[in-house]
Amino acid sequence: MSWRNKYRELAKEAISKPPQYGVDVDITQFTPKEVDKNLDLHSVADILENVGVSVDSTNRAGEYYQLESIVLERLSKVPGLEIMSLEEAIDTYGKDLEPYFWNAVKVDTDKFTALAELAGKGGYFVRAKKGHRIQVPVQACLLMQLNQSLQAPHNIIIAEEGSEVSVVTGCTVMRETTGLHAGITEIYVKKGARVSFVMIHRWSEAMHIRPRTGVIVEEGGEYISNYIAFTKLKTFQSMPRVILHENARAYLASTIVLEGQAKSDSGYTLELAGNNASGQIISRAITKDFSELTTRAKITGLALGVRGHIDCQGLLLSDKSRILTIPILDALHDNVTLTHEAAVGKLAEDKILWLMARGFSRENAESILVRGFLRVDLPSLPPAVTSMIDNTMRLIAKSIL
Amino acid sequence: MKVLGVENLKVSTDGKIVVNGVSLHVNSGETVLLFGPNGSGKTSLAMAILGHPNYRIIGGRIYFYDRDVTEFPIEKRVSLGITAAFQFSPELKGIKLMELAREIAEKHGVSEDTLKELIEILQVSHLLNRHTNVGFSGGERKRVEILLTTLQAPKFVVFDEPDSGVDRDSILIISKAIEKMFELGLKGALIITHTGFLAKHLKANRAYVMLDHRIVCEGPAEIISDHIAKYGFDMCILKRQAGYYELA
Repeated sequence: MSWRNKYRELAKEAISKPPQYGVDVDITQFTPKEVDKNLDLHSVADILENVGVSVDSTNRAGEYYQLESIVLERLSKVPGLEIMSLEEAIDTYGKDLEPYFWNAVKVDTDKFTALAELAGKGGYFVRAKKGHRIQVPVQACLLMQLNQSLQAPHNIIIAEEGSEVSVVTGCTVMRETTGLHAGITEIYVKKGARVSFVMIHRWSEAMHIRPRTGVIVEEGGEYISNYIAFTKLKTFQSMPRVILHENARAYLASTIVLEGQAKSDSGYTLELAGNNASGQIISRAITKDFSELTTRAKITGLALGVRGHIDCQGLLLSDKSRILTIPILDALHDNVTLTHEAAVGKLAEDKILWLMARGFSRENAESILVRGFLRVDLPSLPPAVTSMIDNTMRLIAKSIL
Repeated sequence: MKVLGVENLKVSTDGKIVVNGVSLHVNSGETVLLFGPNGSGKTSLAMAILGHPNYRIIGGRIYFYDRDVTEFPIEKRVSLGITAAFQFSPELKGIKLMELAREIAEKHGVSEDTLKELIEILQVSHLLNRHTNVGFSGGERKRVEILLTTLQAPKFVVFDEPDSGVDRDSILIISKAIEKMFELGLKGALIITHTGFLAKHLKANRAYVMLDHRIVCEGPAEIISDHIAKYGFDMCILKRQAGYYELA
């Protein structure tokens, strides 16, 4: 295991390094917890459904379930798709894994990446083999239930040349609890491959959430990300970094609905590093109650003919809440097209009244407008992925007001 | 029988009087026109009839059939069958036109066949999968507004300039859709217009002219429409004084 030592050393040095953005957290109060392996997932099917996970669905290419630090299940159901836990992948591939290990995300980014290396357990390793275009999603679920718990899985997704894979990950708690979830996800999209990655979160009000995600998309590859959270929580901070090489494309969407006293600081960093790369960052933010939300979006144009667009929309459903939107466009080449649009406000009264004139109650009119606000048009995804997203968005739109 | 009766109505918005003692009525089966220059108070009157909360009724009464609806909020008026087709309908990002049309139709018991027929009459099939009114041309917006209003199967509609800023072909299409509305149960219509071109196609019965927040004359739609086209609104007052039309 000597090849891992240097990452351990870097992690030890970074274990007190505060995050670049968001609220800092005292990580010493959280430790990984062991639990009984024999959880009957059917007994928590309702909870899983809230984060898009269907226990009985046959329409999945593979599955991965982790409760606290224990891997409950991992299996691939289709040819050309490999699924195992990170520990199994390290045992199986050893140093061959290194190009995909703390590369898209740096281990010394901050105390949370360091903690994941030093104390984290589990995480999935998903690989679509060269040329296999897998049209049904891999379903992953990360569950927490114990107080003062740390869950820091390290996930690695690799789409080999010309392959396609979709991974939908639902993360949630089985009961009201305090804890820290710091999941690391590294995604490698090889030449001409396509990855869609959907992450759905629902937490309880004392949780700290610090996902760390990095994505590298090689020539002609495509990466579609959709982060969806409808949640109470204590604090959330995340800023996935996506690097696009020549002719690569990315669609980076997030829909965050915050409740209670939640504080969130999140967004995407997109680096258009190869000629003619293009990408969009699309965010929809809704705040309720006393929640505070900062949306960041940064696109850097580094090469010839790249195109990038930011679309940030915020909707305040409570005058005690706050939304701060920070779009940044950074051009380091004279032949780039970078644009942004941003708007923050409450539901427009003229639209509510117009819908009321069409026969809807005020409540229905508001619900229609919220539904419209939440709709993000992404490139076509495999139908099973679209249906998982649609089901989640329907649940959100139904219970939001 | 009167479908709509407005008696001595006074309306204010933003602290200004915008409708000042207006009386008019629409009988069952009638299409009535309301002419007037910009700023004369026509849209304010329409919004007051709809029950828009920004338009405060400070005097007078509004009747729907024999029922006094002056104090009714917008929801209650719309549920009785009163509505307005807006001059400027909003863009609804994220809401596909077909989804909204279906939702309105289902809510008001209008069949899928009727919906399809209206889509054909109004020539909006190319817009159905787009977000409602987002990037639509002026004419498309007007046709969509008529579509969605028709799907409510209303009993009384005040149309606020359905013909402004649209080409003649669109006006013909809109007039066909309004005829269809009567087939579907519309009992009366008040149409605010500048041009009177629509009037010719709709066989409107009567017309009112509004100037400076008041009704200044009333008469047969065709005659008033022709006189306004030839001589403008001021001549309308002179003609009325000369006994051509009744004083409203």
